[in-house]
Amino acid sequence: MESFEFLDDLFEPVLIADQDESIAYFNSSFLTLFKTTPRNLKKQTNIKEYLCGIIPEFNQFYAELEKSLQAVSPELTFILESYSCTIIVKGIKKNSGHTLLFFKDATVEKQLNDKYRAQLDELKNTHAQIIQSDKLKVIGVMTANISHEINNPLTVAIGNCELIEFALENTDLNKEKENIQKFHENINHSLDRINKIISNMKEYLHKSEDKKEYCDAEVIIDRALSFTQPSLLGNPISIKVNMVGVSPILLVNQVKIEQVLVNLIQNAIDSLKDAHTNAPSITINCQGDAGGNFVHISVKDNGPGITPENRTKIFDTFFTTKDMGKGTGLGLSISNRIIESHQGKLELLDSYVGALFRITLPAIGIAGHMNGNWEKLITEGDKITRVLVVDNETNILNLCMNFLSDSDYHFLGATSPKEAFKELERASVDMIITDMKMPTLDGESFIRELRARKIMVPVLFMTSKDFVDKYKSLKNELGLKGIIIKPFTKDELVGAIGAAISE
Amino acid sequence: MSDKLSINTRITGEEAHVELIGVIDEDSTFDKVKNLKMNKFIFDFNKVSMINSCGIRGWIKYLQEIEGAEIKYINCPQIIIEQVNMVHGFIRKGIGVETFFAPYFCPNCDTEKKILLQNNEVFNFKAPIKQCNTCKMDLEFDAIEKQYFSFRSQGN
Repeated sequence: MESFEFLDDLFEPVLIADQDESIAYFNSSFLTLFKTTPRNLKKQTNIKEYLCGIIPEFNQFYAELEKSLQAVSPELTFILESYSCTIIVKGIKKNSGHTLLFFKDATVEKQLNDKYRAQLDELKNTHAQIIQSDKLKVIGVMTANISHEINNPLTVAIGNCELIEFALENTDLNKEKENIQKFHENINHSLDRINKIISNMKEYLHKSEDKKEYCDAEVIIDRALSFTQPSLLGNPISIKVNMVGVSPILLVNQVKIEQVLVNLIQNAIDSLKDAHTNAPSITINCQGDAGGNFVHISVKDNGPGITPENRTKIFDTFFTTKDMGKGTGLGLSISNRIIESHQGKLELLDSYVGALFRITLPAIGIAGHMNGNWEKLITEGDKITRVLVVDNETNILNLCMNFLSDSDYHFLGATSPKEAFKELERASVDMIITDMKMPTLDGESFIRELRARKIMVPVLFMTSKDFVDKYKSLKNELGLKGIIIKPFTKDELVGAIGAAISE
Repeated sequence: MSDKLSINTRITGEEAHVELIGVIDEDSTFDKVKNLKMNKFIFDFNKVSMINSCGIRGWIKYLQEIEGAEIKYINCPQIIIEQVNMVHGFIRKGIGVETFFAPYFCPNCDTEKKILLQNNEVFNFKAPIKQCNTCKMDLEFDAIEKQYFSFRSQGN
């Protein structure tokens, strides 16, 4: 024992065995960890047998140690005096014949981790339930309105059924054939409309996964308006949408952003209704910032606005200015959290009249960097291959993003060459995949511009068969690495990138 | 306060006698004995069944709240002494461990004993000689003396 006395003051438990596996040394921390005494340890003749008797999986670790002369165990769990203990063992076989075993007591760490993980899961569930309850509230408010929406096509359908009945009473049905076809079309059209209304509601109610997709801001605003439109029936409230420039494409969870907009618009409607404002109006503005990094969507009304004392509380959970039973006080706080989860900001801005809320969301370039497999990006850093896909069709960007989501590549998207150049200024890109036909600048011109700017990133064409000849003629001149023919499968996309990179 | 730990307080004059019962861990709070504004505290750990490193950290933080008061620990069980030996700060300057339990063994009765020792009974990290209350034979100290008593050098 004396020769190892220098280990006495170590906080880590240590056990040393002689060549014959008898105990040569242990420190006080070892006694504490294994709740034993020097007297009991002196009775032990073989450390392997002793520890195998306590720790069920010690045998495997010791076998590895004997084979490799140095080994670290995974977390080993065992029960001592009815307490569950977790340890990690490092073992070293020395030339002198001694076996050194160092123990890390991970019991508290493991218990805390398990406990906080369970609490975190509980919090996430509660959060999801709150969001769902807000959705139900919004749906509840709108159900009455939407039933009115459904009533219109339903009335048309019933009316046309009656007309068919009348027509069928005619003895010469050939004369009525054209009419019956028209009535039938009307019924079909009405039923389609009802189906669409219900589908939208179902999607809004049940789609809860946190998946982000490329969406047109104008589409999101239109859908939010269609939800709130029935609330305006019988009210003189006018709604104006100002889209400054081309409608921006966002990388967001469409349903959640719609939920935020519905909340803001519905709040504005309620406020205007309650205040009986003269010439009530709501204005929705949408525009990108000058630098192209952010998109702002604002909802402004000309109602009574928000009092100075309420301005600081407006985003607090359960704070509401609505009458009892009308508001839960969850809408804005949930909206705030939704926007924050998109790395954006929801603000109440100062306005001369009424209330002015502004949503700021990252433009697709920045959002693309924040999307995807962050863990991989952090751990593998520069080893990750960044693939920039340029296509004006959001469906194609979404498809590529989904296909590459569990691959070794990090997806970045751009809806135009202009956005792509912005992206290239922002970060290094290892591969560009571009569509051929795009409205502002076509694929060929885009690549020419790239090469003119001395950007020699490998490029793949992604286009229809019609452009194969074009690809062949440009291949050498522009240094194209290949072509992906639409429609393509996941394997084709991943395979094409892999082949181009390895080349 | 965690339901795993209960705290009984008895105040006489300027002295608070605080008995801790149960588990001291990450959930433990000592709010009940904060802001007592006493000049002297006696903490009785006899009924503490478990303490982990998070509990020790919480305790050290609590000690900062009653800085300046005279503090004594009594009846510290072996689990407390073992943790104190590993995490420094439990015994800061001005804190005295008056009594604590130490493990002994009676070879004659083949029985483990926890003997309550007065701090001043220990010299040079040597356990005092104690007799078995059953057979009256000398007991053996049942830990590594130098390491078990190392807490005594803290707080000086």
